[in-house]
Amino acid sequence: MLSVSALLLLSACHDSKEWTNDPYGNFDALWTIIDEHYCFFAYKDVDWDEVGQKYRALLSPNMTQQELFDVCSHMLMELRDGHTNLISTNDVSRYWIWEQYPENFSERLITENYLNFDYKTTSGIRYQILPENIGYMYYGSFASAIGEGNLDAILHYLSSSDGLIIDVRSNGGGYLPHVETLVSRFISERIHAGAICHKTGPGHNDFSDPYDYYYEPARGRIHYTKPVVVLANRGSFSATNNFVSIMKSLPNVTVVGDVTGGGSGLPISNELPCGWSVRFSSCSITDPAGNITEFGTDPDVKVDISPEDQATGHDTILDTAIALLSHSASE
Amino acid sequence: MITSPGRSLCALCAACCLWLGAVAQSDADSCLYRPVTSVFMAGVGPASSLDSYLSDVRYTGINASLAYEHLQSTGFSPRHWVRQLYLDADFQHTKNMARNRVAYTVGLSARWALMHRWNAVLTPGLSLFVGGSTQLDCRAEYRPSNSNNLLAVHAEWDVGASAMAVYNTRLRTSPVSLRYQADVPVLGVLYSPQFDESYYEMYVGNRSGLAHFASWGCRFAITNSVFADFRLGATILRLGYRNRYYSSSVSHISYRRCSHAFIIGVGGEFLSLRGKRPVLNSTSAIY
Repeated sequence: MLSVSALLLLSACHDSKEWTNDPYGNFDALWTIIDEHYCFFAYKDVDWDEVGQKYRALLSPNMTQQELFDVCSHMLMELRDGHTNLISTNDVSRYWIWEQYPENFSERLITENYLNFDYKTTSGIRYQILPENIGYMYYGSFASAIGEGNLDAILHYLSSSDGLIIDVRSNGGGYLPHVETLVSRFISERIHAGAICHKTGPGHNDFSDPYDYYYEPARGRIHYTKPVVVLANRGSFSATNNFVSIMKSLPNVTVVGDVTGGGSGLPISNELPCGWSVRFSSCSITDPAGNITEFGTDPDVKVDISPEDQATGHDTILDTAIALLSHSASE
Repeated sequence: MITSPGRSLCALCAACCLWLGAVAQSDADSCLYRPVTSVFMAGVGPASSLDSYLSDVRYTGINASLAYEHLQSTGFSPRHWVRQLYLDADFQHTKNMARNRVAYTVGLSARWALMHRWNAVLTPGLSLFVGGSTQLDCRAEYRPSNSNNLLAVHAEWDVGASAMAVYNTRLRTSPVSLRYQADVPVLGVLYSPQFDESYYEMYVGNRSGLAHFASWGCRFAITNSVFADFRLGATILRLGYRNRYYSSSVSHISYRRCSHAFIIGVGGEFLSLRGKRPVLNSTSAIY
């Protein structure tokens, strides 16, 4: 009896939210999750209370699941965040704004006209030395694990080149530790990689102090010390945006192409009573200069692939990178 | 020079020493053997958890555990003091309300308790035990469908209170012991990330603010156990039920878990004679 009483009295002190599984309960759960955990309200000047009122007015008790999904999806669009998705059994809401920009990348075009279908591949990286004696590596996803030994083999093979192109166009991101693995081959000393801060409570301004983090050079591994060009486009998102922003800060690296897709928030997941899950940014990561790159990292050299070039089998962005590296090699 | 509070402390220590000495003296002349009650247990039952670091939705499912209990009267004052070691490993498989997402939990815990024994309380077969305990509990919950918050790790060290009531009776000719035990951690230290702090941030080096003082203000936990031990000679067959409840609110993270387990165990009372003397007198830990 004493145990039961103590259990009831003391456990009651610890609140936990539970929502009803109906349109209002699911909507309120979603709104509250974002309200308490989303990290870019102030940066994007979003009035979440107003957004909630606007979309809650569209609810009705008898609406279908699809109608509820559409209302919730449109509410999440107000965040303008590529990391924010509502995931149901038959659809994923998304703010993939990069789909509306020039693609600025054709894998087939490069494979056919620059690599002549002759390339090596390991750890999700395609690589080859181009006829201009410029190394080229394409990394399509930071979700592909990069083995240190594989990276040694790649960089050893490319070591005779005069410069290196790292193509991360249309790389939608993946795991941040892989960013460190790759960057650590292009630095000779410890570098400031950025700062990270997280929500410390449910208030919109409850943030931890930014924590500066650093990358160390890969000890005992093969490094590439010649000039490097990183190719980026709007599809370079999330961890790839992080990679581009860090590489851009290095002295021998030039970023060529388009603005990256951004996505500087670290996403976490939560759930609604109906079984849908929601993913959204909860921690903000800045670039080495302290800038929030949620809306992208600008290239050093802004280039789009021209339709004329593409029609003749040329990648304008890649051509620009080859010219840059060839020029620096000839100096 | 000893100050006034110092004198009080000395007096208290002296009183404790005299009392312990008296207790030890009263038992020392009996040269008691202290058999070890050792029981291996398996349990299974329903479980639920809600961890707002992972999501705001309650997960329910099944918990299975393996446990080991070691009970023995203490070397000092064996008729009046008992020590208990309880080791437990459990695995939990749960799903959300919509049953479309899954979570896996692995837990390890160890508790050591020292309890004073009062025999023949109210009725001849009833013994009461009350004392203190210390406990280490570690568990990790993994939700493969989550993004950067796919894992929640909980670790805690506590000191607390343990109490049990044992009623020794007979079922026809066989001795049976009925036991209820409650264990409540009181003060301790627990590990918890901050509200939305990712493990990636800890990975890059920010590990400050992860240890928290645990008290009833932010955490309450209780383990209730009911056992029936059927003793067939030196062998013990145990049937029982165990309920575990844990609730905490740290760094705005709400965490609750509850499990019920039906227990079956087997063990025995073991006595180490060390080849020296015949058994003249012994005192069982709880029987």
